[in-house]
Amino acid sequence: MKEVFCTKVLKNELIAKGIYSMILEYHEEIACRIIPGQFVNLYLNRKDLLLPRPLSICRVLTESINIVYRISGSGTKELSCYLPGALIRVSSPLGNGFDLSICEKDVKPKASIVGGGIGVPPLLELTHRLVGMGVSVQAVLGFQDEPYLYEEFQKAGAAVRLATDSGKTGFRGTVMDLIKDETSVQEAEERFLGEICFACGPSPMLSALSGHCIKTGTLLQVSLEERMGCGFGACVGCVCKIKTSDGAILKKVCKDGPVFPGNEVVFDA
Amino acid sequence: MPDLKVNIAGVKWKNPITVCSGTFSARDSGDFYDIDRLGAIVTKGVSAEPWEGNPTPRIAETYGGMLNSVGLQNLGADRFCKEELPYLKQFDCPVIVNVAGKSIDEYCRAVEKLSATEADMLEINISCPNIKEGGLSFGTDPVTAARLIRELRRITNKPMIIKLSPNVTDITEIARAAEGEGADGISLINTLLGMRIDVRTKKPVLAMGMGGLSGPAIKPVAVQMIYRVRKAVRIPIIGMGGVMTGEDAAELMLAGADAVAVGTAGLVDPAAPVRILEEFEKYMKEQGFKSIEDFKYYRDF
Repeated sequence: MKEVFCTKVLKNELIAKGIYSMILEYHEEIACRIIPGQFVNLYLNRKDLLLPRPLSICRVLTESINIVYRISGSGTKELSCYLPGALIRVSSPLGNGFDLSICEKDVKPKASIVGGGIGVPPLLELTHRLVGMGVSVQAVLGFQDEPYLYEEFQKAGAAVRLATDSGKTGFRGTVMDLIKDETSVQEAEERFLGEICFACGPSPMLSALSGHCIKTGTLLQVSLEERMGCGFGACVGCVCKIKTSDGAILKKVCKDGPVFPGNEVVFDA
Repeated sequence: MPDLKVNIAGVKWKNPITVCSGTFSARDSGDFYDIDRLGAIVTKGVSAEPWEGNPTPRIAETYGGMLNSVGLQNLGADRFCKEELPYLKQFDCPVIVNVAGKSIDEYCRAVEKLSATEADMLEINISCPNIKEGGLSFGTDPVTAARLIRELRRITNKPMIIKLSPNVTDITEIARAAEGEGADGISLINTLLGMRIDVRTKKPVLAMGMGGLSGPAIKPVAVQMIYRVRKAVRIPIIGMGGVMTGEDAAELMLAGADAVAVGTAGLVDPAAPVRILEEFEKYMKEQGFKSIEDFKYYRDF
């Protein structure tokens, strides 16, 4: 069974322009079952803002979870006002996370993490798990201007490359520009993105990355974003197109995803 | 303990609380509560052929409500009967299959297929605002509605509930037309047509532009329409529209509903249908109500 329960905000602070990091008390016995890439629904304490805010889990901590979110509307703005001690309702972990089975083999693959903007946070817990499994991780993180969380990826043990649109820090350009730049100079046997790549970010980035990974023969898993209603599969508000042998079918991002094999997603042009 | 049992169009329900079509999925909602506790379950709209639904975004939040333009995405009647209905029949409550269509012929083919199944009741959706030329046109004109219901009555003996749209001048006309053609019950209200525009992008929030408004914001509209339809027809009414608590359910019962469906509440609080059932039972106890019949004594306003 899944549930929605009341919990306490332990921390809620600004970490970059418009980006907040919240730590929420969370049942230890549920937290230990969280798979990286899963999300939780946060229910606001306002009667006029009905819908839950589905937010990815950035880190699983001791008896708590860390959520990093961007203020993008009235709901996340409301969320940013909750002070430590505030009570809020939260759901069990929802959706399907990243499939790490390939990394459980004796011969560890070289893995990469590609994150764009607010798609970066859900990749942090994943990086910790991968490094913990003995996988070498190359992280490529892209931001508009001000990077955040990247030091956490370094602390987790990943080799981090930064790209910013403004060129303020790291490579000037998008993560895709950086990846294409690197791939052109790297020898084929030491592919920049490795054998498997895990990605989360804006749809154009995932679409371009999907095309790139097909060319380089890199397995890709993408975490998609879509405007959700219920966040647990009942309303069928958030759907994406997934390729099948005879065309495409619609799948629910919240319940069948948000993680899908990169080569199966039909990205809108 | 009050007796919660009701009889809706000849079908026995153990309590009057059910769910609204489109907001419930046994496989998903069932993760959060015991479905057997509900008075009945209602499926998403099923059409003769599979429907893809509308492009995304399909959901937008509004003050005290939400807009949806899902567009009745469904597997079609054949796959529904094979893959979904047997799963739903394992629960200890009647299964109401909601039927959608774009033409009389389409409705008829779906109803024909469903009539040959173990579905306990059919709910005919003539009120979806999200399908072009479909559904809603049957729900806004009493003559067209009557013609459709007459055809459907010919091909099915299943208890047939007609789901009405609030997007009309006089809802009682359609309700009377449905009763006149042999409908076994009325459910109301479906969503109100609405729209939101993002002032930053200067574009509609929903990909389809418009969608159906639901949630607590529409409850007074539902109460008013149930009240008027109750005075217009004798067949049972399943009331719905913004029910968030057991007391909201009681309010719809006092307005004239014989059963109450929980919709948007089940999306914003996944276990809402059973919570509302518990609150509703508590209300009845507090009021000294012995059975659902007791609501009828207070309807002389």
